[in-house]
Amino acid sequence: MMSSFLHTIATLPPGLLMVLGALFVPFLPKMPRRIWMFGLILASATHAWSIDYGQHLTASFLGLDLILVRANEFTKPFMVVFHIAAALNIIYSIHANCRTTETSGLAYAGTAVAALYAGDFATLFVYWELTAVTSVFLILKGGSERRLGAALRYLLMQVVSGVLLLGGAAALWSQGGDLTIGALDPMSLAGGLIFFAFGIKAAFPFLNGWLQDTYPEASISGTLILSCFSTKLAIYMLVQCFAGVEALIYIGAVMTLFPAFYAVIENDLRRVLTFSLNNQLGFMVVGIGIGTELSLNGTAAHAFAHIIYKSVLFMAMGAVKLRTGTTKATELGGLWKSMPLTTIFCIVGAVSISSFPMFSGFVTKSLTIASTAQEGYLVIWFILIFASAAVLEHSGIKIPYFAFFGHDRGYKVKEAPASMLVAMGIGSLLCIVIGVFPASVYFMLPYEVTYDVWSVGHVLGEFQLLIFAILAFVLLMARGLYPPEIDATVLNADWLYRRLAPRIIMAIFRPIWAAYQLIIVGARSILFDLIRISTSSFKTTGFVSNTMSSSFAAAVFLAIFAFMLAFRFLNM
Amino acid sequence: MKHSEPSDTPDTNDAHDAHDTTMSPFAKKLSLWLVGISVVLGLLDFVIHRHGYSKIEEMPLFFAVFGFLAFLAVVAGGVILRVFISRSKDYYDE
Repeated sequence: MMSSFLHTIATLPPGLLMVLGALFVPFLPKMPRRIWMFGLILASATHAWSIDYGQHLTASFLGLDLILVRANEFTKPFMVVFHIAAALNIIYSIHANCRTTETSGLAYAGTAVAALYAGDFATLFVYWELTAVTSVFLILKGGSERRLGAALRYLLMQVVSGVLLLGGAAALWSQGGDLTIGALDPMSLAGGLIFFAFGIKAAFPFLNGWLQDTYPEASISGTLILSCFSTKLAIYMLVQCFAGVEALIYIGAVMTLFPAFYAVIENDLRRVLTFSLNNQLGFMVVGIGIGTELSLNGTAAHAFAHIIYKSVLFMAMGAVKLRTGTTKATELGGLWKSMPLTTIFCIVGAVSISSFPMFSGFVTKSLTIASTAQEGYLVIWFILIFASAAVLEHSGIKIPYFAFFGHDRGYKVKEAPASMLVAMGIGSLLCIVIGVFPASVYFMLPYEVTYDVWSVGHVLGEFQLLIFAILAFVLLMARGLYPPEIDATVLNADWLYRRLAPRIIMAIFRPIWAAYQLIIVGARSILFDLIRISTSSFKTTGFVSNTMSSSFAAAVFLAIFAFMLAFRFLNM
Repeated sequence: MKHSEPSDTPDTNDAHDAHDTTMSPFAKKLSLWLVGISVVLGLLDFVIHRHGYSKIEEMPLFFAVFGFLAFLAVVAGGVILRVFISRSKDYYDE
């Protein structure tokens, strides 16, 4: 009995265990709930680890051949880091003690893991929508009007992405019915639709507005959880379907650049991190576009390291938000005195994302950057090096500097709660372990890593780039030339549907509305005139209702009769 | 500037924050160290030959100069971008 139950569990798609288990989370008391959630993650991870490459579970549904469990050489690194993130998220959220966040967060992580194992587009579509549905509660939680608006905009973009994916799947079906996830031509109808579906979730240029708009509106734990899964699932799927598509190199390069400039002027530090997240996705997208073993290794490794160091940064800013009530640069500063440990963890996250040697960003991002040079994309290589200096600016310096140093605002706050510190501590430790022992990630990568990340020239070049960039920062600060932070709204791609589209719709419908109004008003005034004339005519004193003498009536009839007679004779 | 104000002026005005160029002794010390490290890193380029994929990359001080200029360009780019896309903080609430 027990063994057959375990056998059933072992054939389920990994992650689904977390989704089903999440249904019990709202009904469990505090401690058992956490043990239950960790148990689910561990069980899911153990099960997933044992899955070999190939198809394992297929099903037939409404004439569709579904592949529910399928793994290839890219699945493992994403699977492992998704489970690590899910576990860190639980530890970090202990302080908030919120059933909605915990249930939603676990189900969301589980759906994302299960999606990694989807082998066909119909199955993927189901998970694609489920990641949106399970995660929207993270934004909705709290229920203020602002959050409701953000949640609706988030859901709208996720559903549009899902509909495009469904359209692509339908197009594939009509072409012969093979829905297996594999290489697609983005210039075909099906490929194009799916390309855009992935593009929305991976925050391509101009499709990225939802990311910066909605993530920072979620709760403290909510923003952290959101930052881990959806976008990286999109990266994973781009690898599966569009590896080597040259357009991705240029799309990715734009993604590394534009959000970086935005991050310089954005005041809300959690929003700065979402721009930074977008910029990191750009590096991964370039790697997918290059499509060589080195670059695809780079994308997978970068996604792995990125989820962890980005989590550490979001956790640190979450702790700041919890203690001070804000993450606006204009309201923060000098927190290192009261939050020393959070400061240290934030700095570890910052140097990791800036890819200082001995930290996780260096041993992962370098693979992608090297691949652009190796394949002769010199301009792209320049852009990525430039973007690396930009990462140092917004995530390496701006985040820790404005929150923990800079102008001391005199906050006397407590250090972050123990649970948050533990989560940040583990995350920071992983950043260092990966940085010092890159083999800890490399062994999971799809191809053997032959690139020598520790070559003296490479390490020296990286140090020079970063240290001289910091020198530029110090120079700007010392001269008072560093632009002051301003509490403002920075227009981003979400402006397109929040302001431009409504304006266009208004511009089209306003004349129609005006014409409609004119007709209605005109018709109404004519109608009123008719009613007025007829009431005045038919009322008791009116012209029609007047009493007249019978002789007058006889005279009228006689006159009509005479006229008719005359008419008759004249026509003869 | 903060350091040019009379010492008895209460420090309540936030307007001068942005142009606050006074550095704590610790920050000054740190900056000096940074300059020292930079010089050493720069000089190392004339001792160690960095093997790169392109000739430009192998030029002495390439990464140093590029990193320094790139940082300035990113900040300048942000400032220019701000002119076009920065709105009041209540922009979407109106």
